[in-house]
Amino acid sequence: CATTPPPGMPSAGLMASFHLVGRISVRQGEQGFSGSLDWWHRPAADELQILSPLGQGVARLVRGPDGVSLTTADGVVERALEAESLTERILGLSLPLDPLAYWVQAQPAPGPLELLRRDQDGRIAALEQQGWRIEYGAWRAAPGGALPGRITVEGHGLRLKLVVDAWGP
Amino acid sequence: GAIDSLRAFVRETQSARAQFSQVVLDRAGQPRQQAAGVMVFARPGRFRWTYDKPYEQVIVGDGAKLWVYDKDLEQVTVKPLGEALGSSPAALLAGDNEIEKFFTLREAGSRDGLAWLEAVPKSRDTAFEQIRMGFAGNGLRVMELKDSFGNRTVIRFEHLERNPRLDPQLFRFTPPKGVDVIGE
Repeated sequence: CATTPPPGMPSAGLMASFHLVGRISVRQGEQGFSGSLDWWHRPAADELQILSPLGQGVARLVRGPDGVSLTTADGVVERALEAESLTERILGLSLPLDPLAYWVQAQPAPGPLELLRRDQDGRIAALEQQGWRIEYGAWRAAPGGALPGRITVEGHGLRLKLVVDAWGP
Repeated sequence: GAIDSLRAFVRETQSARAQFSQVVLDRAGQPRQQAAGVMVFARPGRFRWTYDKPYEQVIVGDGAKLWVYDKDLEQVTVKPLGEALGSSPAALLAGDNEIEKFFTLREAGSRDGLAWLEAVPKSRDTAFEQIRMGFAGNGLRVMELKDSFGNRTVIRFEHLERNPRLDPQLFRFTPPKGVDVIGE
């Protein structure tokens, strides 16, 4: 089970690939969904699957070289070039998938950084980028260094909470 | 057969308590999610599924609404029970005989010492493509739910107690202070 990192353990370096299992809740105005999240991240591809508490599929988002597809529980498949516009159209909230792959690892995404605050162990406690504020907590020890167990992302009227149950390659 | 067992189970078990373990298998049959806890129900429409492993989550049916509370996420989602029946095995299990109202039943022979039935939804808007239920005598042992993504949720019940006395407080839910409440 997740162990708290020893004081001073630096956070893990940027991982080009990861498998994240956790629980997610996203809200934007009246729209929102929550459930468990299964996220396979690779340099050129992503697969995110949201399951409801009792395990049935809510949505699956797949990113590949030629764009993004979103399949919902009723089997409808929609496509777009990138995740923001697709999730906006289908789920009513725009999910910043590309920067999110950095933020969940407590790493800044490419591009200008408005704020970066570190905690006493030198790990990122909060950062602000592209109008988003990301905060970290519940750090846990991992082979490559500490990884966050709780991530909140707020901005553009959207609030995302992610609790990570397991990090994997 | 299993259909008779289901009807007897619904008739004879007005309330119940059981431990459950739940595993979600992906299309390739790989376990994606494992959880365990205790469930209680009292027909019609009242139930409480308490997940204690690996994280704390509670699903409560108070007869009118379905509440899902995730402690770590500090969030409660709530929706009318009627809407949830097609997508929540907890609600189905605690119904009068909602299963036959929402699903067409078929005998599916015996396997692992259990008599099985298959339930296919009558309407499209249920989250499950198929539910299978395994009975030993009139006791429900296993519920398997397949969704449109090919995920299979297998819920095993152990130590099923029939018609225990249950505190009505179990079937009431008030969101804790400071928690996000989403839904009606």
